[in-house]
Amino acid sequence: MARVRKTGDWLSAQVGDGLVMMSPEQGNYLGISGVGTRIWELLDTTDDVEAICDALREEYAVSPDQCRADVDAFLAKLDAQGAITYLTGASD
Amino acid sequence: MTTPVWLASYPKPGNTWLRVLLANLMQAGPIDLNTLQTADWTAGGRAPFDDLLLIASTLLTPDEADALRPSVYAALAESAGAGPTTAFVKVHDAYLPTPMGEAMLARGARAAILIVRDPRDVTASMAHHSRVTLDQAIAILNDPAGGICLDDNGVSLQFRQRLLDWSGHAASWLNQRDLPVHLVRYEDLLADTVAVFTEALAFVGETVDRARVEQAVERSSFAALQARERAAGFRERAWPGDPSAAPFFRKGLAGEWRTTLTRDQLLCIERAHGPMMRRLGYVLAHADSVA
Amino acid sequence: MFSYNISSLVVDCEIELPGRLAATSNRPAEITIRSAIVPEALDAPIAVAPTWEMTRDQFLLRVPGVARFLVVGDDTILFDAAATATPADLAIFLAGSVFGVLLHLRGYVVLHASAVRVGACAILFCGASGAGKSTIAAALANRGYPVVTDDICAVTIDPVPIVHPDGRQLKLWREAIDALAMSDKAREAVRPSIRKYYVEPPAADRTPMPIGAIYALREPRPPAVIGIQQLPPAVAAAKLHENAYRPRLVDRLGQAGLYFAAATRIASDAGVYHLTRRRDFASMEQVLRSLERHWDAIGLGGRPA
Repeated sequence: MARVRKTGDWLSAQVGDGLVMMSPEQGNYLGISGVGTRIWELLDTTDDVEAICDALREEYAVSPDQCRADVDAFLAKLDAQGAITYLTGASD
Repeated sequence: MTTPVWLASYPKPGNTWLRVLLANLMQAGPIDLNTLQTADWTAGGRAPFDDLLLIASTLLTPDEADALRPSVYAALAESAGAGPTTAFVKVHDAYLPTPMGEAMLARGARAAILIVRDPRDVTASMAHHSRVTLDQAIAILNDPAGGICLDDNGVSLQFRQRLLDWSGHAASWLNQRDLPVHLVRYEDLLADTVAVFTEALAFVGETVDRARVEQAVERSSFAALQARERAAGFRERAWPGDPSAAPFFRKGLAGEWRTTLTRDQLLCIERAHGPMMRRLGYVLAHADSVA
Repeated sequence: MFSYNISSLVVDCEIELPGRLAATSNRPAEITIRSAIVPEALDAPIAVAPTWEMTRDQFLLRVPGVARFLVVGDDTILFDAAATATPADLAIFLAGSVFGVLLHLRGYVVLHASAVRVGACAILFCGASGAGKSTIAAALANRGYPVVTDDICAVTIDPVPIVHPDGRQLKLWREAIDALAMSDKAREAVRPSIRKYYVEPPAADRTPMPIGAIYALREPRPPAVIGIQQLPPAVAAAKLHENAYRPRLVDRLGQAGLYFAAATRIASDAGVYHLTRRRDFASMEQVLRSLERHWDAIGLGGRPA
């Protein structure tokens, strides 16, 4: 079971319907929009990837497999930017 | 050691190609040509100077800027600690002292790789890339006061870079005693890329297994580069955005001068550069007419 | 004492600053610039580079052959001129590099930009030294758009991003003056030793104003293509930091968050764009026309009469 946690000292700001983030320590910038913004929000309430998928499926019309695949892809991007770490079960 | 290594060359001798080879070697996948320049800094660029010294370099005379450039390279070399083991930095300047008498490039690197190319082929390459006539290109190669960005009526993103003439440039690097220098002839690099490249890497203390070198060479072949350039364009083209501009990665053949230069043009080059051509092992076509 | 209004600050200066328009305000001076003995180095610096060092309340900048400059606190600049320095040499570095550092120290969002007024808003052109900021501002001034700042652009966020005019003349290379036919407006050289000159702008505006748009100048090197492209907010934020007057100082002073907040605000309120164009003078007319079309499209009226 995959568990993830936000890491780093990211600053964030709402621009339009998206979120812009910066890590002063790494000098990295990151833009998140659409469902990504919601996932980022949900990461404040849970570290369980399955729980995030469940929450999203209640809000969006999406198949469980598609949802999981999209969430995993998005989390992999956040991981590559150093915005999250996998506590357990990183899928490659 | 993390200090930079200069990749020194007179313009148009294949400096870019060698950097592509190095970049391909250092990365897992084939490199994106358009990130090559931005991923690194070059000795001629103003941006690191202004940012590091907090002085607007455009308000300095070329001599004043030259006097400060060594401190920039030294500071960058010192702060390069977190980077890859060897940082290759392109430089076109001849190896010369600043107006204060300090060697401009001595403190910025631990060694230099000097890439030279037969001046007769440099002529054709320069005429092609800079859209000048062959005679104009020869005049540039033969100009002892030659350089980049010498005009002081305007401003460029680059510093004045003194080159001297083609022979003077090579001599300045080969004769200096501050830095160990490894000579790479472009023609040798073309003929046996893997061996010459491996040797250059060994010089800077990098031992890389043959398979990786072969892979980097394959990805850096002219056919591969031209295909990628057609797809993505390339930042270093002389006339940005001009669709008629010549492709940066030209055939890259050695000995092309035999069909492109006239007898007079050959004489003009060989009379000016005969001694250095002989020193570097380039056989003169008109040895009997050259002192 | 000469008095100037630079970036909404009243500045008293012991020497005349050519290229600066005199102050119109009667407020007492907020910044004082005067000659004094300045040490070669500072005690217990927290940051050191080849030409500068910094302690908690002092900042020393050495420009060889010109002067040593010491910023004390955030309201005093001392200069110790080299024997070879002319008043013009002192003035250009005081008003440029040193004042830029002071603005950084005072917590302004300081951008490496030149700006003109379009309608009620400032339009900023930013880029590294040599990118063509001043030239494009001068070309627009020729068309009647008032110049707001040249080279250094001080911005405050309170809460709208506001540009504070630098109250200075343009500085152009001989090549640009000739190409833009501005010889009649050219004044003295910024330094006796270089061919860059103060140029009286045909029109200037000295009142603080909100930002209408920011254009980062670049050349059409592939994959960039000629035109105006809006930057996504994250790219805009990175671009703004990159175009701080002195990005390294922003990081040293722990102000990266300030620039991030400014950038996201500007991206929301105004817009950050790439202006990708050829740098040659022959393309200038076309560049100006595409800018004016863009201002119409994003609702910035105010074509000058």
